[in-house]
Amino acid sequence: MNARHRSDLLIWLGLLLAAALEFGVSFLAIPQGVRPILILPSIGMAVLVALGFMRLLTAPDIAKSFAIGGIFWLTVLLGLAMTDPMTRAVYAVIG
Amino acid sequence: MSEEVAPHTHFQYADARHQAETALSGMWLFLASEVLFFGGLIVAWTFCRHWQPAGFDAGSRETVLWIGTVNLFLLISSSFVYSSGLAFMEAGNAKRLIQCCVATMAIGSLFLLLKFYEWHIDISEHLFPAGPFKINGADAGGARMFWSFYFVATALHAAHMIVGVGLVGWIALQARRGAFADGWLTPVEVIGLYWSFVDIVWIVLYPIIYLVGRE
Amino acid sequence: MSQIVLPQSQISYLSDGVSLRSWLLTTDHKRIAILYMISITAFFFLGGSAAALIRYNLIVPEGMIQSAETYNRLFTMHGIIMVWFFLVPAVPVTIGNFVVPLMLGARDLAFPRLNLASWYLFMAGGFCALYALFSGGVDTGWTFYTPLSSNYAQGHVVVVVMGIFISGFSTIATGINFIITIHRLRAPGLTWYRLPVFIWSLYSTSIIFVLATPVLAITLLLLMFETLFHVGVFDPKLGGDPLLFQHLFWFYSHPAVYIMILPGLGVVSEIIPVFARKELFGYKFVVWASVSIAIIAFFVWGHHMFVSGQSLFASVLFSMLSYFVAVPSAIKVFNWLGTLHKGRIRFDAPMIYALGFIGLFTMGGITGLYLAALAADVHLHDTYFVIAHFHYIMVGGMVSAYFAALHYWWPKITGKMYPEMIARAAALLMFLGFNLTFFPQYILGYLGMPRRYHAYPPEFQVLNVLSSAGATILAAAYLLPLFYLTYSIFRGARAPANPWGSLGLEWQTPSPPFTKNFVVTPTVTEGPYAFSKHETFDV
Ligand code: HEM
Ligand SMILES: [Cu+2]
Repeated sequence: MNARHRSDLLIWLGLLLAAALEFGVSFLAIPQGVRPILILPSIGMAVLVALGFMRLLTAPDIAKSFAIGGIFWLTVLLGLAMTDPMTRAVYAVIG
Repeated sequence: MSEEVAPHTHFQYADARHQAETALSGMWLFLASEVLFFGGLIVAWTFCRHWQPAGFDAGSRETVLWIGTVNLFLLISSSFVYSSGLAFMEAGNAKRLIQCCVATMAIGSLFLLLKFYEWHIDISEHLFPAGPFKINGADAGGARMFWSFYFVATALHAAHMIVGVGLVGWIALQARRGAFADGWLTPVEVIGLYWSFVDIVWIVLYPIIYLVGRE
Repeated sequence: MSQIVLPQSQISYLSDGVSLRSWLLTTDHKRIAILYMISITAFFFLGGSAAALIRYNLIVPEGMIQSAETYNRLFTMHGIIMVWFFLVPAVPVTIGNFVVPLMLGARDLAFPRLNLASWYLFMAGGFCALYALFSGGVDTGWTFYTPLSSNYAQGHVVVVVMGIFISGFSTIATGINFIITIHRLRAPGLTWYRLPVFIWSLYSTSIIFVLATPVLAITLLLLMFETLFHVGVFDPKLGGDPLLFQHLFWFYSHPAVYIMILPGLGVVSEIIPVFARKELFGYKFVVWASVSIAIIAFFVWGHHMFVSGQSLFASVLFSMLSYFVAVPSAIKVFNWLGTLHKGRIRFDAPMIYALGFIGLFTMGGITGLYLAALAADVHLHDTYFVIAHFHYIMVGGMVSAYFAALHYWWPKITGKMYPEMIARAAALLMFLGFNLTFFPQYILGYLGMPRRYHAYPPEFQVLNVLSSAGATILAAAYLLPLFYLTYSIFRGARAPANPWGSLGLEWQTPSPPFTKNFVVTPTVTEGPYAFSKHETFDV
């Protein structure tokens, strides 16, 4: 068992833990509006997989920049697209 | 067509390492593209839930929680198994790599079987958004939206899984032919990136399909 | 990069195999470029025929083609073919495929087989679209706005959307190939700031390919889902939000309009210094302008939705952000003018096209600012003003750039010189015909003529007739190169390796190049436009 195996095992345990946590917490009575925070453990897990199994830290530099770029553009998409429904005035239709 | 000028070096590369890093970077860039592909779905999710939170969540409560959860644990484990296979191969153990690939494929197939079973349950409960629908009344519109999202998202993910199982099988075959005996592991790594990414997609889909809408 | 000297015999890529198979299964980036060139030429004239019919219809107020249905199908077909099957692949994929490895001193792209697969995907998508368009057509417009396209349209929306979906993956693959190649396969000494501007602009374009196209793909998938099953994702009657479609669509399509101009900016930046015999003015500004255009392009899509009912806050935000795009665009124009200043200018055909580009692109860009102003757009939206705006950029700009590139690299691609005089005439004719066609449309739009109608009030007839007359001149100007360029392949004079006295690497290998591009990988010691050091290069 070399260092690689050890770190993989730790990542796996971490993931199992986070998944169990996410699943468990979902049974708490969280108000509907706040429930999207249940995504947070998932984001943590995604980061774990990327850094652990996908070995992002030792990947070539441009691979790192592509990963960051993908996330950045995803935030642009989500962020700017949501400005509209968050601030839209919806007028009632009569008739 | 594959004109190699040196071991693992196509004619446009300087050496094998040059080519390996290029292949890895190419896969990462492809995955960045995939992030935006699924990103569009997430925008759809936030939009739809924003307009009709009650109906949307009512739809979500009809999902089969246990299958989604089991599948989450399955996929996490499959990534671990595949990654271990890569680590074994780095130590020169091709037999273990093959075993890990086969295990990965088995877990992946189990995931798919469960998924098909889940779809079967969904459809027989009239949860497909077209046609007669289980939920009626004020929540019907939002619930249908949820199930539209659900079917598109899970079908896309399953399609990625099927491709992934095929690719891992290809790695196993290559390993059996001794293709990685000289330490050239790039294909194993590249396919691993893809597999783990598909895993990440499920990790993100899991809460937004199964958990957020529950009460 | 170390240098592996290839054992290959030094034969030109054109004579390295003549069978059909050697073309259809080639992985040589130069041959794939030719495959693309043939395909997009066919698409161009197909889309052009639709345009001709549109202009024919608009000669009289009640419409020469009496049916609004037919007219709708015509402009939809025109838009879809021209955008996705001609303009998006024209300069970046076709010309880019040919020159990127040559400019980098590389032997091929990073992933040659992926490159061939791209072409097949493109063709598969193209055939889907053609099938749909010829077996009855689609009446939604190229933008496929929901719920018209999903639950009301008649026609083969799903098939055509499938075609665009498939060809989208072709451009994603090409984008990945270009980005990786530019990062990984540069010749020794070819640092980032020694790269030709064309490479930088293709890099920026590829960012858009890779990060915007997948969003279009998922949007189209959702659209197909809604259409096939009649469920509401976008249809408000079924609970959906039609603006969701528009947001997702324009998240792709605004950046995509920069796919349709950035490569053109690159081409012009190549040509101007060569024919003005001067170093490109402000190289670093020009290249970073390209990159920032590509990035800002992702922040402005909402300016297509000012009157759609999106939130006022979003409109104001998007309007403000849109103004920022104009800054790097203007930087480029000023840098070209700076390059021309006191240059020794030669008016060869590529240069005439490039100069025309500067003027037309500027017109199109400035009117973009009018449209980006919220209040003005309420009046101008969905009028011929918008049509004129984007045709000035896409046709006046990008199609001119494509022809500029085609003429400039023609000797390299075919090994033959094109007939110079007739080419110059064609370039001038194109400029003339273009302005006659589209300038009246600015006025028409300003006066309030809406787009996408097959009939119009009689007071607009004079301007419409002018526009249609211009279109015939434009058509002639586009047909000319088809003939004389083809002619030159068979009868043209042999081209020397470097007919224009350019300094780029692609000119340091014979015309046409060897299959593997370079016998020995070149080593680069200076930038691509250091003309001051090379007075003797004059031709
Ligand atoms: C200087 C930067 C630019 C600005 C500020 C700008 C602004 C705008 C605005 C505000 C609109 C919406 C008008 C309306 O529908 O009412 C528009 C439409 C359009 N623009 Fe631009 N634009 C710019 C550059 C470009 C470029 C470079 C291209 C293409 C190469 C382009 C192509 C288009 C197209 C195709 C449309 C119409 C799409 C449709 O509705 O069918 N624009 N532009
Ligand atoms: Cu725009």
